[in-house]
Amino acid sequence: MTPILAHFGHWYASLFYLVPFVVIVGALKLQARRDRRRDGAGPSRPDGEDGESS
Amino acid sequence: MRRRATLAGAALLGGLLVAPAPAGAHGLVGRTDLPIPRWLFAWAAAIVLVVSFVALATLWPKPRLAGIDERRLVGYPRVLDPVCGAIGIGLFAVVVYAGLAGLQEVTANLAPTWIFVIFWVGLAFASLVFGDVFRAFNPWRALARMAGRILPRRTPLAYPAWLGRWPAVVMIFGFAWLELVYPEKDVPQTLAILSLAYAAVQLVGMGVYGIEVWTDRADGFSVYFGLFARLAPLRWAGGVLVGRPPFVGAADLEVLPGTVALLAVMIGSTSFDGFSVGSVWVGSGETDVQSLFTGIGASVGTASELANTTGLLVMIGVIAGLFRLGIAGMQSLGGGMTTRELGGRFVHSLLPIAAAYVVAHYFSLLAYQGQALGYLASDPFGTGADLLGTAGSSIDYNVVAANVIWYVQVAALVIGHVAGLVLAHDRALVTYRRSADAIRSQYWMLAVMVGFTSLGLWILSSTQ
Repeated sequence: MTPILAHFGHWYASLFYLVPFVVIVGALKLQARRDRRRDGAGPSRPDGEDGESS
Repeated sequence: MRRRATLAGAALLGGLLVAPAPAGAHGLVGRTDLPIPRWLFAWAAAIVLVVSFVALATLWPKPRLAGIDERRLVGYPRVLDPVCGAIGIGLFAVVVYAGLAGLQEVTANLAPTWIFVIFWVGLAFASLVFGDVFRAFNPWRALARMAGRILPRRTPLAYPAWLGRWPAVVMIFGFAWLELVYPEKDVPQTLAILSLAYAAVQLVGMGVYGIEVWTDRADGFSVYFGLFARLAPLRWAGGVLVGRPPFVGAADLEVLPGTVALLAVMIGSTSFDGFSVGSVWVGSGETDVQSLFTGIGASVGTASELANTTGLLVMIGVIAGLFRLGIAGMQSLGGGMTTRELGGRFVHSLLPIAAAYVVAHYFSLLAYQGQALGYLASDPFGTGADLLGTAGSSIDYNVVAANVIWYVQVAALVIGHVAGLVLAHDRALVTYRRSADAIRSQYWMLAVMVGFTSLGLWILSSTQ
């Protein structure tokens, strides 16, 4: 098999396509953590306070 | 669990994107001359998706798509259905005859171009614009309806609920395998025999379970084109043509067993079609996988088929895995729904993505190879005939510029994924009681959509 690292110059550009996915997943994980903290710290709110959905 | 799912998703996508790649850029669409690097289009597409997500979260607080009104556009005579059916039977007969009796030369025989370009790709495009046109022209449905009028009536068996769309999954996977793996796929005679076999299976299925039930659930091509037709702004409703906003028909998708698998096969096979002619696979991927099979004693030919079958299956697995990642993330919010239930509720959001992949990957094929119909219509059997006076025409590869193709591909992927986000957001508002939970659940769908977009653009860029 061709060692993947042998031709870094040929494939490094592919990494750029991965960047948006990694950034979004990272940002969403941070946001999810913030949401959990806020829900845990704040007073419990009744269902639908922030808008019933149906 | 969530961390594992995230890591698995990143590894899944990363493994594909970090494979050795594009040194040479030679493809069917010619060289592009773009003002910015291609990967920047992926970044821009991701930004569009994030902006769309924020706009949906703030401007779309209540579900709107369920039960959306359709407008009656025009009536049409019922006789149109049998007339189209007769045309479908006639075309099917010509293509099969061309395959069996015509010159066994791929470019000189109507059968390969008709089946792989006009039927498989052209009808998908037509379904996206005009609705379910294949239903009317479906030759085996038309034959079964004719037979139903002549033969004595019998009550069909109840179609097993567990079977759902699984027969369609098998048939579409089989066709994708034929197109992407089978080395004899271009032999007209083989295609004609397989077409006859396919029609025979459909006729038996319709005879046993009923024409419309079989057509709606099990006939692979009917189901395939019917799914795309749900995104169309037109719907043919038994004598009346109705209009509706594009994409909203997906919201009414009936979730039957096999639906997620079918969409994974549709998106995965289209992706592998692009990937298999890209520099990653052609450069070393196929050889590497092939060597695994030659190492255990397979001949080079068999190893090549096994390598491509493996690639096809892996790509389908990647698509299913990305969707599963989004569903697992949603499930972590609670709500008591299983991944199967959530998968069923949100699978319709994959429909515009499947359409986007088809448009992006096959637009150039249709634009270029579709022109072959010009000379094949005059000489369908390769006998030197000139029935319509167009036998001397040829394919003009300058009809669409390479840059235009790239922009169409990017636009298709962005529009398809934004439509997927809209469908998923609306369904989340129905699924979760609090709109805050609905929005949080869509964090994961956003990640999935960005993953699909990046993957699609990377595959397309590697074929340039």
